Amino acid sequence: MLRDITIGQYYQTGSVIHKLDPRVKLAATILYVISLFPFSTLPVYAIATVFLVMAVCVSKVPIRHIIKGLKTVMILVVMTGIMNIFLTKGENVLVDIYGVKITQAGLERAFYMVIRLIYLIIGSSLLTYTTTPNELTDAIEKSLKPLNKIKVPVHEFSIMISLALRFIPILVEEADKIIKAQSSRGADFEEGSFFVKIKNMVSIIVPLLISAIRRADDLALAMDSRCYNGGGGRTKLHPLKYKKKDVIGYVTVIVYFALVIIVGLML
Amino acid sequence: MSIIIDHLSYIYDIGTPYERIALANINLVINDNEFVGIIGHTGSGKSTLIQHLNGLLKPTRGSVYYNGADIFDKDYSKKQLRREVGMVFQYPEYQLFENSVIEDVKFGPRNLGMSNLDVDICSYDALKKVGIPDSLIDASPFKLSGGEQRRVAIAGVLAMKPKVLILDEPTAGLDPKGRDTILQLIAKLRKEENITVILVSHSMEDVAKYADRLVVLNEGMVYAEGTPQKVFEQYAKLEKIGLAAPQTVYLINKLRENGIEISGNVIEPKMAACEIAKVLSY
Repeated sequence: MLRDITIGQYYQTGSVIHKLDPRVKLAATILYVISLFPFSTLPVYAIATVFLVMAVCVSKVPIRHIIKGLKTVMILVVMTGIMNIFLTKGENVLVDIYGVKITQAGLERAFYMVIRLIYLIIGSSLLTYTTTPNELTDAIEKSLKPLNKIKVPVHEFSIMISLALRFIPILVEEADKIIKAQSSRGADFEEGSFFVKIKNMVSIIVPLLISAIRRADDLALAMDSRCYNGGGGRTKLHPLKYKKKDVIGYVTVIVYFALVIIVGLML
Repeated sequence: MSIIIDHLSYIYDIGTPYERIALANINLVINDNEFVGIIGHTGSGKSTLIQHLNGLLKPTRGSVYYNGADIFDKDYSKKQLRREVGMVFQYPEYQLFENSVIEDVKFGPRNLGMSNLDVDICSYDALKKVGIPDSLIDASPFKLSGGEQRRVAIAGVLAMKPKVLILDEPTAGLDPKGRDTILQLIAKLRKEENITVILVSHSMEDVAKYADRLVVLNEGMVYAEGTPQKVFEQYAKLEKIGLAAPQTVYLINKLRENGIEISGNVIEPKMAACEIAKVLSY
């Protein structure tokens, strides 16, 4: 059951986007996210749609897979939509049921909000579909390197992020195993009274927590015994280097961003 | 009264690039009170196969019948099934979570809705069977040794009074003494309680001594099946997939090749020693 969580899991297709420098993808995702916010007009969203569809097509990640990933956060999207429809004040009241008003402004806002959220999720999950966690942390580390000068421990942060990401699938697997083991012992996680459900959750959480601590302990020992001592003087096996396609990637994203700004300001 | 595995196939992550066939068309019958050893390499599908037997995994194709009823039928009660088919997972000590040993053992029977008295009786009984002394009953399970923790976890399943006991690598990570304790315990339980035992292992030595029948899995398919003697006779075939017969089988074969007459099918060290002693006394 936990295997179904697909949001953010790397999906190899060997496309051009997969081969891009992770810094390009990181920058593109950030710019894309920013571009969704300042303007709520149809032309801007048309451009954003075209760009997103292009990116998805080039990445070759199946639409089915993306939609499956979207399902888990759909409740959030729907809730946001409903909130915006009912709680936005405006002059042009379309429906009025016992004081609950739906205004034109509310509908418009809900429309843009829902689309914005969906695009945000697809856009950012496209980053993780096409970039391995290691590449991503490399990109973050390299991009933030200048901060080292003002004593920000960039390497430590990046190793923390990459370890955290690395442990997600391990803990998911572990949780899956524990759930199965406790189900075999008759634990029911769907039925029963509230108290029974809580009690049954404890039977998963305690072993999971213990195993996480044990793994962290082992990992610390393993890193220590291989003389890990932080970022100082460490070199990379595959240092990040920009190639021609990365330049093309940057140009595409900047053109897109400029287009959004121009269209947004003019129309 | 038996378990029938009927044309069972299981595919992991179907419809993704990670799609992988774990089990392909498995057909097996496990009879009552039988001790079946399932052997295979890591990734051969052993664990996946046994997880079907108490309904934790749903087959992609095929089905499993327990006492004649399809366990994947909509109306079939999984709870009833799990009461009768007990499953001890790999490293079962990692699922302990209660404050005391006895409370942890009680978790299973309580989930089955037994009365408080029955829960107590079954739990104390199970702990006694696995040889946990009374002095440890109220201790925290996390303070016990690894071997003791494992026995407590096994007691947690035994307390549910299963009719079929499935154990996934119950001896993994134990020292030889702990290993023997667990295996002898299982053999004893089977005799005294008349239960069916399915033991998953990658160690031939482990299963050779106790199992009535071996099932060798390789790449999700049944590679060989039969009594231990019959399976070990084909040791050349086993070697092809990186498994081997117990050391004793090789020794006896070497002796026979050199013209020493040893009668019967000898697969475990004690029997071998007796047979060799017989030859020497001539």
